[in-house]
Amino acid sequence: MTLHVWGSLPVWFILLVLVARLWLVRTQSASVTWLMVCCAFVAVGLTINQSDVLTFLATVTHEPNVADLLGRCLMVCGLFALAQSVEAAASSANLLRPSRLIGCVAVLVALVVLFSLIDAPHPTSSFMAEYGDQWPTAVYSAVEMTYIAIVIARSALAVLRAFRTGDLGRTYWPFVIGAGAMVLLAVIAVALDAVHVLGADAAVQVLSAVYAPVFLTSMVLLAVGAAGGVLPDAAREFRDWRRTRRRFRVLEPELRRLETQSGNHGLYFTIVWQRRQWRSRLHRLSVELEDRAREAGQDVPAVAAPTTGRTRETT
Amino acid sequence: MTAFRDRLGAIRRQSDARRRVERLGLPRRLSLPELVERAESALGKPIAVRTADLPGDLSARLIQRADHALLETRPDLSERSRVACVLHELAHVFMDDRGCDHQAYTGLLTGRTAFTRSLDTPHEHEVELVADQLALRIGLLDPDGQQPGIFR
Repeated sequence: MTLHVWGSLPVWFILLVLVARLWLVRTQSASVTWLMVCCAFVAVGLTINQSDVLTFLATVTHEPNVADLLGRCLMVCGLFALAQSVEAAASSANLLRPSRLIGCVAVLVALVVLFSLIDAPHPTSSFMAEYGDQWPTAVYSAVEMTYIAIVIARSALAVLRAFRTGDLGRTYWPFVIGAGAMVLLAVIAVALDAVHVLGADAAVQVLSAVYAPVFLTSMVLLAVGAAGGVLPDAAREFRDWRRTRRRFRVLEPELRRLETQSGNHGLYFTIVWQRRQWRSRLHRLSVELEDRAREAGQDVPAVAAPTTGRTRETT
Repeated sequence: MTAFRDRLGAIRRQSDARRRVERLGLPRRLSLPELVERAESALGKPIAVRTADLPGDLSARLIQRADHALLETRPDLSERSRVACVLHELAHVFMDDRGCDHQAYTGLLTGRTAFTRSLDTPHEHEVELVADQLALRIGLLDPDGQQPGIFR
């Protein structure tokens, strides 16, 4: 396996957890949805850079190193999704910022144009090592890494701001450190591109030696940091969903009984509930239990008390 | 076939309620007081939200006076039910529901009361579905103590 494929493993793990969570409970915030998109793009973008895939894509497209271009474009799209994930968490989120969209498209166009200027006749999974001595290759790599560095640094700053306001816990620290490592990686990559073009072989060897550990460290830390937010929520959400399903089984017969005794019917049994609406469904069930109990001149059934009662004030 | 048609109708009504709330242009997340402020803007007068002893099994009512409106809920409701009642009355306001435009002395009101009593009124069902959509906006259905945030 290549270095990038190793680096993709933690990202695949997070993606797997997110997919399992979505499949089970069907609910997630916009921030987690964008994180999922980010993981999908980044995982595929990193995994694509191996000989079998390279050969296949080269055969299909007649473009020897199209896999490298595709991988980088996917990384850029993944980082765009990461920026969207952070934006989506804001209370007044604006996911259609023109500057952000234009920036991403401009980077993608620049990558395609620069790639077309590179003379790279043979497929290779070590694209930069083989063809990095050409200036278009150096700029091509630098554009991608600069975009990654800017987006990841902005995301880390957003997390740091959330630390100050007390919105996030310490489990996010690995993400901030990983983001720092990713920015360092971008600096190393751009420096590596420059010295490669300049022919400073000694500097190339030194920088190449530090590139791999910094890359792997940053990927693991970013994944662990993202998991720090996602995994506890996923576990809690799954527990809540299972508990709520049990409540439906207990409380629905109670609601039917109270409907009969009060002579009134609500919306609960007419709504076509989708699985992802389990919280809305519980809310409606609770409200209607209370309505029907009052109309029937009865107390809310004891089994419904934990559901109808609510501790958190909303005003 | 009838069951299928009923099912389709129910899905359509839910979608209509969701679209109706989307068209209000509310922030993705806001507090109940902020939602009341929005309703005040829509109504063109202040809304005083309070608890009061209400006749019979009335759960809530909205009374419009010349210069302000009263939104009253009965005191023995659970917090969840109280907020649901408030949202129901606010839904009437957002839907520009003329049926709510009562005279100051009117005691028999539509709104949440009509929902709990006149369950054969399709309009009240629609109002209740809109109220459920508003509940999503104010975080009433969020897990306790769980705030939305980055990667959450």
